[in-house]
Amino acid sequence: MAAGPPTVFGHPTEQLADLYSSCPSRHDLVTQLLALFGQNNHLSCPRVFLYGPTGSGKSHVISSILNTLKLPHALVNCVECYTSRLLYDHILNQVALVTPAPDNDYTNYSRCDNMNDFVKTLRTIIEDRELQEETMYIVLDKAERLREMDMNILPAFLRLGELTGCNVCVVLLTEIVWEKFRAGTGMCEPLVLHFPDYTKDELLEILSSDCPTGYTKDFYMSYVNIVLSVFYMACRNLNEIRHLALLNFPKFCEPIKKGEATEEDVHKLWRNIEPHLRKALQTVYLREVSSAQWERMQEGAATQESSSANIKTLTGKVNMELPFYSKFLLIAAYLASYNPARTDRRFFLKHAGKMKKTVQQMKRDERASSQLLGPKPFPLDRLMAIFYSIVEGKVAPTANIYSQISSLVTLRLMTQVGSDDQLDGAKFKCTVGLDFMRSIARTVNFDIIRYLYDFV
Amino acid sequence: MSTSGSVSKACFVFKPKAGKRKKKLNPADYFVDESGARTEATRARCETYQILWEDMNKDIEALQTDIHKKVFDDLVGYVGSTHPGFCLGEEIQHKVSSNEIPTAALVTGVNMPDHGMIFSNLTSLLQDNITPYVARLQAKDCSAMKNIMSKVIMQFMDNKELLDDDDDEVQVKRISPTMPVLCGWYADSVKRSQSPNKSPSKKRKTSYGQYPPLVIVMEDLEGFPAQVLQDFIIICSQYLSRLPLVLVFGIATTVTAVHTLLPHSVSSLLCMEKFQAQPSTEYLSQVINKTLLSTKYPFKLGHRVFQLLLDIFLYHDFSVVNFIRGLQFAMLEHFFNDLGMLCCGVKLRTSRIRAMDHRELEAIRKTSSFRRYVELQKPQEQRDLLLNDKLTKDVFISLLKDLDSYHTMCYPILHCLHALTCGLPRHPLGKQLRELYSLVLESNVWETQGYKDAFNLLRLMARDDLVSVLGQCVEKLEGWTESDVSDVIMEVQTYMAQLDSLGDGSQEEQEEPEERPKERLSKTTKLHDLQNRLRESAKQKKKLTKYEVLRNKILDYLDEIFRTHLPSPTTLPLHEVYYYRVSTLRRHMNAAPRAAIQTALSNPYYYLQDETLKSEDGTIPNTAPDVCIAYKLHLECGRLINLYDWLQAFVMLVHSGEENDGAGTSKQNKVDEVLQARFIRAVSELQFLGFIKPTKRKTDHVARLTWGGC
Ligand SMILES: Nc1ncnc2c1ncn2[C@@H]1O[C@H](COP(=O)(O)OP(=O)(O)OP(=O)(O)O)[C@@H](O)[C@H]1O
Ligand SMILES: [Mg+2]
Repeated sequence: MAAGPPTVFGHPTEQLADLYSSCPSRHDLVTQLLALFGQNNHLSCPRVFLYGPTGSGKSHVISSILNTLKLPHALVNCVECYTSRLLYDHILNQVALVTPAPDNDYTNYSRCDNMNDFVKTLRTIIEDRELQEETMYIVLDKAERLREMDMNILPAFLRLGELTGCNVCVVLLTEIVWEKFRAGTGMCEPLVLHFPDYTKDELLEILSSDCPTGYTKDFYMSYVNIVLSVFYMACRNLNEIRHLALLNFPKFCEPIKKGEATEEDVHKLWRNIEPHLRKALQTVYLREVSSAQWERMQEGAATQESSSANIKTLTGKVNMELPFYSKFLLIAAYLASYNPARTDRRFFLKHAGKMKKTVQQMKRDERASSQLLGPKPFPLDRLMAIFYSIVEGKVAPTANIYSQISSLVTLRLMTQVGSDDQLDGAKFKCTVGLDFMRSIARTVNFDIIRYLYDFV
Repeated sequence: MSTSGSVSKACFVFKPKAGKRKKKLNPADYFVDESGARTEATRARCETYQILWEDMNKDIEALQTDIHKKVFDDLVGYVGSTHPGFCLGEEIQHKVSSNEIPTAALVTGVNMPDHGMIFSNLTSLLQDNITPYVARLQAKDCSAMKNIMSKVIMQFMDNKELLDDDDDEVQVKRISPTMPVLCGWYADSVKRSQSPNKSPSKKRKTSYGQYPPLVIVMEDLEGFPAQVLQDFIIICSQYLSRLPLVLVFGIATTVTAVHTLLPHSVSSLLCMEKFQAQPSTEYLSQVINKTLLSTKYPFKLGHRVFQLLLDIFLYHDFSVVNFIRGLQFAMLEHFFNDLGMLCCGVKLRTSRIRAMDHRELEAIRKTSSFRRYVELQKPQEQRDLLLNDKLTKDVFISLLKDLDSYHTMCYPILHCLHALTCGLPRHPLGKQLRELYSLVLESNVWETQGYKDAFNLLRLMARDDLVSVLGQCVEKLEGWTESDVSDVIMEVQTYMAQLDSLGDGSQEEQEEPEERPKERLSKTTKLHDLQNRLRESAKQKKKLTKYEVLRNKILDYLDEIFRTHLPSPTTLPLHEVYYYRVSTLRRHMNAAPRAAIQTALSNPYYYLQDETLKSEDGTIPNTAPDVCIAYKLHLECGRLINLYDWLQAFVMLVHSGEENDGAGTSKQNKVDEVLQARFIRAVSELQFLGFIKPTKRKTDHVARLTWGGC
């Protein structure tokens, strides 16, 4: 265990040891932060800004420090605070050690509607708890959300120490750089610390602490090494790799359980696990299967070799069934989205002659293939006109047809753009991709490519 | 209609008369005879209907829970198995190895009208087995974070269990909906359910675990605003160490919908397991089997009605709920009719026939199938059937008995024919039983081309295949409990035994043994090839093997069976008593509001039935309602309509009649104020109906919203 540096800032040594061991690969940053915070009664750096990619351990490091060293703090995730009132409530409750419970009728510490009240109340609480001497840490996770709240909130939090006159340290955690927070005036510059992505070795070190009981650490390390060798190129996110490692470990151990190999037969184990990891690279990344289901799939794959089909059904690539007219409505919507309206006449009139593109048109199309530009909005009338010309047989414009359009909208296969008013010429867009559309069209024997301007 | 001449009746305010309270009608009040009176007969019909429908509905409801049983059991098991090591308590710092929320993705299919039922079944199942805490969310209630949070917390804390156990109600309304509140509440309710001094409540059927999970069901995931859903999931994952949350996503399309809604950073907070609900087509088949293909219920659908309901299902919504509603509606309509009287059990039916008076008998005599039947009798009998009431009653009773026995044999044999033919290439008689049933309803099935094709194919079948389809037939017949089909079973089994005893050598006994293997009928064989081969074999006229002889014998026997037991019900006398065949159902089930409005506006006579409105050449008489005239005129305009021109034309048209009467034409340039008011009203009615709207592009113009001219 790498012991921390000699500076201890009055923290008990065993707490520090705990802290360092819970944050492998982040010792430098922990040390740096401890230095910034100083001793409890020191006036610490009033605002700290920590940023780094997701999974780089920002929340983990900060909460480890605060919890292990038992520092007074409030830790708030700004996603939860969709109004500023909630933000105040959360912070004040935590500072005042109030938790909503039946005993207090689930009420908050106090009612607080604006920044002014908040600052005042915060000061009162700190005085009540007799914490004037200690630093109070207020951590705002996902701080980028603060920018969307009232204008005054971010500047005020950055000056919270000044405003309350207490020893308060505000820590902001976010994934984006500080420059993106600067807006308006009155922003105090915080101290910025960067959490870089973990390197391969650091990842190895962190993951090795997951070692399940019953296996030696070296053995698990060698396993993690294999996992990293497969996935490191595709993904460096700690959470994801940890997920994958845990998911596939039972498979890795299988030969040992069966007695076909020992922990030393690294090569044999590697040959056994590698194809499964490759497969996992395609599917599990989507988190469409739970670990239990994944195991079951692996077992199924072992028994019957047609494993790819098996996985396919589980990852939801099976065709979706739609009612007959819904399919045609969707096809019509797709055509309306991806064909210019001026070409409708040529596609859907009986005797329109063969479509030819002029050189000029071709040039223009090269610049802007609508497959690349994405769907364009179209009015309902156009959709219905195309629908009637492609659907076979006579279809009455019944209420059922119209309700299918709104069904398609609720299913997000189409979206409504522009006004919400149906009368006021609502417009729609088709949101499905060409592959999906082709498979739908195939089920009704409709050759959609022939009707697409891009493919003429 | 006589009181107010204009269609804009809806605009007038009719104040309710003080004394006359609108009294609530119950279904029985709708059952009246032609004169609008409620008689003994109408009451009887209503009662029969109600009893029949209740029985049928009970069966359908039982099906509902059955059909999803497997997937629900899996799902409930999954929800029960999540959070195995969960505990509260401060001393044990419970370390969650991951912050992934266990999530069950239930793929429900696109039959949205049925989803409400699926989720209420699921909810009650969860509440019975796993946890009292289930919150149901629908996209329409969750447009913002605030709504979704308060919906969740309200449903959890408002929980029946909580309110029943507790004397002082928790005032959920005042509480701010935040996760810490939920944590406090959960810790408290766990503690309360554990406290030993509390006597175990009797109501609780099963004891839940120590920490029952909190299940949040999102019924229509696709409809949720992406941002709200993402934030909600992030928040939930933050509290996993204190709340055993489980999400259930109801997904109508495919699981990929989750990824279109959630970025990877959020979807990695989920640990999903997928569950596939039964497709609604499966459910539909079972409903049809249980209700229509059963001798338990006398009520049947005629071919056109059945096909209509099927079409609505397949072409429009995949909704079984709607199908059932259609069925109920058809039934209701059937019992409005005099014939519905006899659509009931044998005993009741016989006594009702006995009690019939002459007028009622006449109504039945008029049915076309009965008249056809009479025409086939000898002259003397014909006269009796038409004049002798007593004799007619006897004939009715025996004819309806015949119909009953037709049904008892028809359904098992239908299943048998389906088992025989559903595996044939190209499915000449349909892949689904319902398709075959629809054929049978329409006409005598053996007269259809499909039946002939099917038998041609069967006559080419190799022995092993034939044995296996015959086995399936027997299985189907043996599974049939409603009536006795043992004769047929026995016969078929005898044939199967004969096939067995032929022995392997039998095929080679005849010449051209090298031809045999080619004759094997594989499922993928093209129909075209088969026909060719058929023709060839017909040409060759070779001597038949023993097997072929036997095969022909078996098929002849089966053909005979089908011909005796599967005639179309339309050929049977008095089938109108059981079969609802009125095609007006289309108007009710598959309404075309726009077409109706257009008809009303362009041809007011159609609805108003006023002789003065009749016009032959499609022109509108000036006596038509104003809105019709205005509508007619606006059809002649382009996308923008000049209001003044429109008014002039309107005035012209309205006056055109008066000119004939010799009224003065001097008012031409100055428009009568009353006329102008009428015009304005007509225009605003058209706006209300959605044909025009004001436009900013040109003042004193309105824009047309519909396409297509007159
Ligand atoms: N150095 C580390 N040692 C041990 N575990 C770590 C370390 N860094 C991160 N983790 C683990 O990785 C997971 C993700 O880390 P964390 O939530 O702190 O990332 P983050 O930077 O806050 O990401 P985000 O920006 O998405 O909030 C946590 O479960 C944490 O326990
Ligand atoms: Mg974080």
